Amino acid sequence: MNRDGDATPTLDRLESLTIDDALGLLDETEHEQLVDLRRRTGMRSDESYELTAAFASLAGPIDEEMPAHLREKIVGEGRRQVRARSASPGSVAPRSARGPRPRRQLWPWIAVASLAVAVVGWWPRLQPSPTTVPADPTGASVVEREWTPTDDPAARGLNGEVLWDNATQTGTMRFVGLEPNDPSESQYQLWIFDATRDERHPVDGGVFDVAEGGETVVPIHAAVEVREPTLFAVTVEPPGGVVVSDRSRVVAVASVDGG
Amino acid sequence: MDELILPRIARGEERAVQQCLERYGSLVWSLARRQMGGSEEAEDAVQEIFVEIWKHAARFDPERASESTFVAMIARRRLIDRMRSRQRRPDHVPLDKASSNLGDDSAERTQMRAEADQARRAMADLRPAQREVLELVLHEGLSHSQVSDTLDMPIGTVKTHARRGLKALRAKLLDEPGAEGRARS
Repeated sequence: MNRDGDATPTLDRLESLTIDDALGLLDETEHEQLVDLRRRTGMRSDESYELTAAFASLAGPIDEEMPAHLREKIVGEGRRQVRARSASPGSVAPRSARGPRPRRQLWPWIAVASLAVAVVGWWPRLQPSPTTVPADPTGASVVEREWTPTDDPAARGLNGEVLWDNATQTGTMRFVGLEPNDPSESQYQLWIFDATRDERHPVDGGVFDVAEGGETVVPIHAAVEVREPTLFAVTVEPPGGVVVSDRSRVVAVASVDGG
Repeated sequence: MDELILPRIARGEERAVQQCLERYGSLVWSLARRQMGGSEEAEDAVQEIFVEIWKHAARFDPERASESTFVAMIARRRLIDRMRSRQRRPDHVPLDKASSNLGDDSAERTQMRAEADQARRAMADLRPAQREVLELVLHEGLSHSQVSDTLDMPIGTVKTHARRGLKALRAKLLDEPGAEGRARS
């Protein structure tokens, strides 16, 4: 039996368990089997079945009023938690618009990343209108591009931007929805493709981690000078990163030319 | 279209918390009552669910799902975890089916009313056996064995109908070609 034939029963079993999990029908033993199967196959959890079950649940009875005392308790506690989270660094909301994604003000999260030089240098230029930020602002050395997620499971739901100033050789990346990593197992690594360099050897932009909590903002530290950036790419690598990536797991790309 | 609330919570707007309860409080409470039965345990579960909602508000992506569906997913996930750790389901306490229509005076819930209608239409498109099983699982909170007893159907058949029904719904929502289970028999 070929490799694909061997894998099929396992993937079928994985899908069945995933669906049963979304329906809330797994006991502890079956759930452990699901976790184990995901680990063995490298397949991450698939939220699409959970979302489908959640959508279908809206068709049932959903109008029973919550007891007033419970509502008051949750509101009180919720306000405390939301206040506490907004006071911590990096707690910036993702984009939330429907339809085409509007550009959003970049300077709040740049400040959060503590790029003092970048903020002083960029703030007047990046002071945007309420709804737009120029993709290639005056000065030409600054590029800002949205991430395009790949099919990698870690990138499901990913959005965010990369901002790079060639003049100062500094930049920032913002991610929302990128799967948190266990640094003891893997780390994310940025690669900057430079038109003046062999594309087999992009510039190492550094390794970083993503924790639970929604939004991750990461300063960029290029290992060598970037002269003409053409593409930014994020891969999954062993802890500490690699010198040369095998590119087996690319999670996001941002093309300078393609926008 | 109702304004989104989760992004405002993610931004730290405290007043959005009250609005979130007004819009989704009944949804979360109803889901909890379906699974948990008794009030006390449902209350504990609902508090945990809203903690998860505050925590994950920034993860909400309107291009993947509606806000109601996202909230329902967070709620179901928490409830399923609780049920699994209990290893036992409570005695089934059916909710009043007449309350499945959201009140007309609920201005905050216009979008959710529309989605509830969409969900009912999507369920109606399933094969009868798949719809029946999914309604018992998703709307009544029954286990495989409880559905089997209720419908006098082998557990293996219950599982097959449940899986095929959810796959068909998912395919419909993703608008994939060859979606099964669309036509009524």
